[in-house]
Amino acid sequence: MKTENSTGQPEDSDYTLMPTGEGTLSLHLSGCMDYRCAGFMFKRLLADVEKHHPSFLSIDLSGVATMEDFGIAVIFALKRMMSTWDGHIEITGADSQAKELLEMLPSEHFDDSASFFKQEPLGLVVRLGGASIKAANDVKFMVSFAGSLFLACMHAFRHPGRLRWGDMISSMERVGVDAVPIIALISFLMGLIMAFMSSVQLREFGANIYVASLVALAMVRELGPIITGIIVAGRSGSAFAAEIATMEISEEVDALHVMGMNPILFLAFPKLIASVIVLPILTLLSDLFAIAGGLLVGVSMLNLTLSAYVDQTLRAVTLYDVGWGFIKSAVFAALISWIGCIRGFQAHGGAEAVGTATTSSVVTSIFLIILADSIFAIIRTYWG
Amino acid sequence: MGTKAIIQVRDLQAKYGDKLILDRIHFNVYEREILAILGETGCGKSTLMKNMIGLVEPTRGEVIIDGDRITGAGDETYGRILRKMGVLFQNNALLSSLTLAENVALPMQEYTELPKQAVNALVRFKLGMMKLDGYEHFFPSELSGGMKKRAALARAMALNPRILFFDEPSAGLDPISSAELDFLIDYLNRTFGTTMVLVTHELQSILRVAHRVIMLDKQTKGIIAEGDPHDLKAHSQDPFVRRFFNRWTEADAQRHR
Repeated sequence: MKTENSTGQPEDSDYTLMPTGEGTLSLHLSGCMDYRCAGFMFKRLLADVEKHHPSFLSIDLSGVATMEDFGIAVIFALKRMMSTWDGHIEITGADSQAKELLEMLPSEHFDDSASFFKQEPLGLVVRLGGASIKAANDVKFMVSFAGSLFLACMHAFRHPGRLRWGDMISSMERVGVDAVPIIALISFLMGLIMAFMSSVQLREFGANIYVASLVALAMVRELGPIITGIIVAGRSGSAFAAEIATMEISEEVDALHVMGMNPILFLAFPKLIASVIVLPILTLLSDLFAIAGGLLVGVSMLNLTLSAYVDQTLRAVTLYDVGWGFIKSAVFAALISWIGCIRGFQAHGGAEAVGTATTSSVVTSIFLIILADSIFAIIRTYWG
Repeated sequence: MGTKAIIQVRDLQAKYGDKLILDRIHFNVYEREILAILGETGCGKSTLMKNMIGLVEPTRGEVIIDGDRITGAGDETYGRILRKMGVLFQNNALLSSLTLAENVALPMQEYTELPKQAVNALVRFKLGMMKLDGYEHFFPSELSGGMKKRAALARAMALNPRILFFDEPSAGLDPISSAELDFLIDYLNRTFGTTMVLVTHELQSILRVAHRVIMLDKQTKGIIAEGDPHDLKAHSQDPFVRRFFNRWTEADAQRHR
């Protein structure tokens, strides 16, 4: 019986099955027994042999031009299948290469159903324990890194001449100047949306003028620092993590270490200082652009005059509010750069670790920004 | 070693921008042969290999692999050629997010319809052949340089390609790992009849495994020597070839004149 050519069967390989007696079958393999034919043979040949259910199968390899491990895999699969009904096989016509492969390839590999590809899922307790140990180590590393960063700060204040001012300026440019367009646009749109949404309610009470107060207070006290912090965490915190993670993986950090340089002072400190200087300025810009957005709605849709809107904004916002926003954004900046650098230094392994470090830095930074903001809100409530 | 030219490089020229790297490169690689491409650093060995595997198009000339022109090949032809060859990159290029077993299984899962159990068995066989039994679940970052190299070789051999390219296979390996890799190259060549093209300047490896070498010259941008490495070492009259094979400095060469 000759099999029909079908999709998946390479033209240069084929098989013939011939009944030779009661419960005996002869299989003639021909052509190249390589990876191209293996899938087809597994599908069709095994099904054909199973249909005959022979007690004895003679496999003739004399027509095989090239025998590879894929072909041997097919023979072992036949052997394994026939052993389920106590059938036997005999191999004839094998050339030296086929014989060598038959000896080399351990048939017990085919009997082992263990898979390499999916590891057994760990139990809940083991996973919980693993996660707890990981979290504890993470906190330990974060505290130790904060300590190292503090020592680096002390060192920098004592030896300002040894600081890498060039790196700091370039970090300030990347964190600050390059972020201005996106922060300006988002803040302007936020101001516009806030003014528009609040005017819907305030108009009912003839209190249009309070749109200016609402936009200014919300932005200067809360949203300005948060929006700026989140944008900088996404833009620069992730960049810090990716840069340091790549350096860690390619052993550049180790190289700095063995050259006697403090990698934290060399890599993390300029980023920390640059972020702490630049983020409050970005926050101020964000506040101004949001107020401009509110002003556009106020003047164009709520019949407010430019001077009335500005006057109301100045009345609502105090210098204390602006200063509070400044302090908050400086703390957010420290958190963003701290986490970005930590995640970078924690990376080990390959390319995947860079992605993990980047994602983790953004997620942790945003969480810490919100957490810190809540703490600031509590402090301010009790402080007044 | 067969007589059929499985790779033909014809009048190849390669440039980076305006800088000429290789010019008038013309040679064949024969079936079941281990050919080493040699030369000093910066002579264009890796560029030649990139041209041969179709990663970079030459500025002139062509490369023919098993009858198919790889230079300017369409997707279908290029795909067909790619299935005939494997490449061992200098930095191994193992996928760091996958285990060794998954790295080796990747081409099998992509190009065959084998059941999972057969893939498992074949992966185990390939890794066993590279003496990596028991490391199936390890990630590349958990292995030594020599082990990574062998794992990358197992992946390159996943579909038993007819041609294997090696870019600086011994780079960064200790002498024992390097010798083990040489043994594997020779073993795979003998067992599977795989044609091997090695880009290297490791003298010991060249003398141990290469059937034939071609030597590139940085000054002329072409081939300055071709033949059996032992013959070239013993009998070449070219001063640069003699210096290369005998590891002579310029002063050593003066003394031996």
